[in-house]
Order: sequence, then C-alpha cells, then structure tokens
Amino acid sequence: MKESENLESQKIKAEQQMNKSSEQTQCYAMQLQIDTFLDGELEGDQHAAFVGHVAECPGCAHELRYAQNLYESVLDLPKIDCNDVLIDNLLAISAQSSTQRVEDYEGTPPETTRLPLRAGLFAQLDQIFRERLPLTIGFAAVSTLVIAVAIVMAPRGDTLPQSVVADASSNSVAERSPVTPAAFDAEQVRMALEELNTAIDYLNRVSQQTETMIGERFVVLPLQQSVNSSLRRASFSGNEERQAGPI
Amino acid sequence: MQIEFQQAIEKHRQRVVTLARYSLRSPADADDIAQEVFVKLWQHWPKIDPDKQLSWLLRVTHNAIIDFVRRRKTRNDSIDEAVDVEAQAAEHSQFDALENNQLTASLTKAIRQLDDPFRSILVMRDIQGLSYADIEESLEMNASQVKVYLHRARRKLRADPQLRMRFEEMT
Repeated sequence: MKESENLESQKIKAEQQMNKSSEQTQCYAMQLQIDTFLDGELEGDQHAAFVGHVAECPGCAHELRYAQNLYESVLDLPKIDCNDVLIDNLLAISAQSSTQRVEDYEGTPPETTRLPLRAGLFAQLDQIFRERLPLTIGFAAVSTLVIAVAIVMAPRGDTLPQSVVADASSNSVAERSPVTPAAFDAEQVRMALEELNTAIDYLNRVSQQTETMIGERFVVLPLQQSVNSSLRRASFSGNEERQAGPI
Repeated sequence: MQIEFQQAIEKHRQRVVTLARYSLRSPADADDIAQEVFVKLWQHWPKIDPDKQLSWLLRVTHNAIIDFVRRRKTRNDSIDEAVDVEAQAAEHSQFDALENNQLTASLTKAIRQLDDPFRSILVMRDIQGLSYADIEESLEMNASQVKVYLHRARRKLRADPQLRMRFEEMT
C-alpha cells in the first residue's frame, strides 16, 4: 500500500513540475509577444491566445501592465529642439560658402564673381591669368621643373679635356655603341708618360718617408719572442681545461 | 539653394537633435553633432535626393554619434565627466527641465545606456514616431530586422532594474 501511495505522490509531483515548467514556457512565449501586442500587430488566434493567457496568469498580466506603462512613458518623452544660435551658425556657414559651393558643384561661377572684361591684348591676358590663377601657377611650376631637369641632365663634355672624355665614354658606352679610337699624336703621348713618371716618383718618396717614421715610433717584437708567448698562452689554457674536468 | 537649405533645417532639425540628445549625455555634445550633421548636409547638398533628405540626415547623425562615443571612450573619463557636468550646469534648456523629473531622468538614462542600433531604433520609432520605412532607409536594414531590434530594445528597457523599481514605486 505504502509503495503504491509513494508512486502516486511522485507522479503527482512530476505532473505538477511539468505543468509548472510548461506554464513558464508558455509565459515566456506570451511575454515575447507583448511588444507585438502593444504595436497592435497580433491578429486572429495569436491575439485570442495572448488575451486569454493574460486574463488567467497574474504574472503575465503584471508584466503586460508594466510594459504598457513603460511603452506609454517612452511615447510621451518629448522631441527635443536645438537653440536658435545653432541655426544662426549654420546659416552663416552656408552664406559664407555659398559662392564657393556654386562654383564647385555647378561648374560655372555666378556672373557676379566674374571681373568685367578690359580692353587691350595685355589687359585681357592679365585678366585671363588672374581668373585662372591656380592653372597659371601650376603651369609655371611645371615649366621651371622641366628647365631645371634639362640643365642638370645636359652633357658637360666641353668642360673636360678631350682625352678624359674619350676614356670615360669608352668605359661606359663601350657595350652599347662601337668606339672610335681617339687620335693622339706622339708629343701628347710623351707628355702624358712624363706626367705619369713624375707621379710614380712622388708616391715612392712618400712611401719611403712613411716607413722611416713607423720604424722610429714603434718597436716591433722579434719573431721568436712572439712565437714563445703564443706557446705559453696555449699551454696555460690547456692546463685550465684539465683542472676543470668533466662536468 | 540657401533658402532650400534653410527650409531643410527647419523641417528636420527636431529629428536630428532629438536623436543626438537621447544618445549623448551632454546637450552641448549633442548640439555639436547636430551642427556637424547639418554642415555635412550643406557640403553634400547637390548630391542628396530631396526625397531622401530625412533618411540621409538620420543615417549621418547615427554614424556621427557612434563615432563620437568611440572617440570619447579613448579619452579620460574623469575629464569627460567634468565636461558633461559643466555643460549641463551651464545650459538651462527644455531638456534640463525634463531631467528634473525622476521618472523621465531614469528613462532617459536607461535609453542612453542601450547599445546601437537598439537605441537609435527606439528613439526613431517610439519617441519620434518615424515610419518603419524611414528607419529601414536610414539604417539600411530590412523591416524584420528593424522590428526585431525594436522589440529587443524594449525588452532591454524593461529589464533595467532601476526603471522597474521606479515603476513599482509608482504603482
């Protein structure tokens, strides 16, 4: 008997819990429809089911009242307007840039902004340059740049001796174009060789003087002494390693 | 063109300013946003279809508010608070009078705390009474998206504990 009573009580509890959870689910589903209901967009069966549930469920009725009050309060919130100072500022900005905007968007400036035409060729040219000042400045800048580049890139052959020009061109342009041998007479070759010999003699004298100065200022260790010191260093480092032993 | 611009300002100023004021704490900042939006309207005037002026303005306002909030997050909060308090104390406007009402203040605060686009959609639809079509066009969303965001925004408001407490006290 007791077992059957326990089973029945457990069944009742389970049913109650199921009912409770299904009610909660139903309440949740109904509360999701509150906004649609407030917007007047619930129709037919959905509307009837919603109204029927709210009539029976105090929790959902309370939630609907709260939602409705809140919704009405939000609807009652005022629309805000700005002060007239802001409008005055805006109108001033638009008035200032009015002429500029007409040029930008319509392509042609209004007649009032144009200068009256003047007589004479130079006067008309002057007026054209004035009207198209940015274009004129741009053209002048480009022209200056082109002239500067032309000056920098121009060949400077006339400032160097003919032989040097011939040598330089033979090194750099040899692969691109056939080289015509420069014509030197015997006298020019002799003078060049003399200059070369003089230069070699000068370099020899300078190197001898340098060796003398080094010999006087520095003492060079004899070879034997250097070898002995190297051997001492090698034997000392070897002992150190043996003393340390394996890790 | 200037007369038409003036007419456009007169026609739409309330919409722009309302959206900005319910989105930002400082009325001065909101007015700055409104001015910035109308300056942009003037700059882009020839390119804007007159029939779509309102949606263009609301879209630009919405974006300007998002940019402003993003910029403000990078600044020092204490400085920002000080500026806000100073601005609100200096300005005696219609909005400040409303802030004195506790319910309205709580409601306004809760609306400002909503994220975008929930806040913008709620302000546009429930406070300004704009049509779904206008909101769709302004925020470049479809009708179902707007409705979903609106309903979520209202549920978020209802879930605000301070707001619920105020209403419980009233009833």
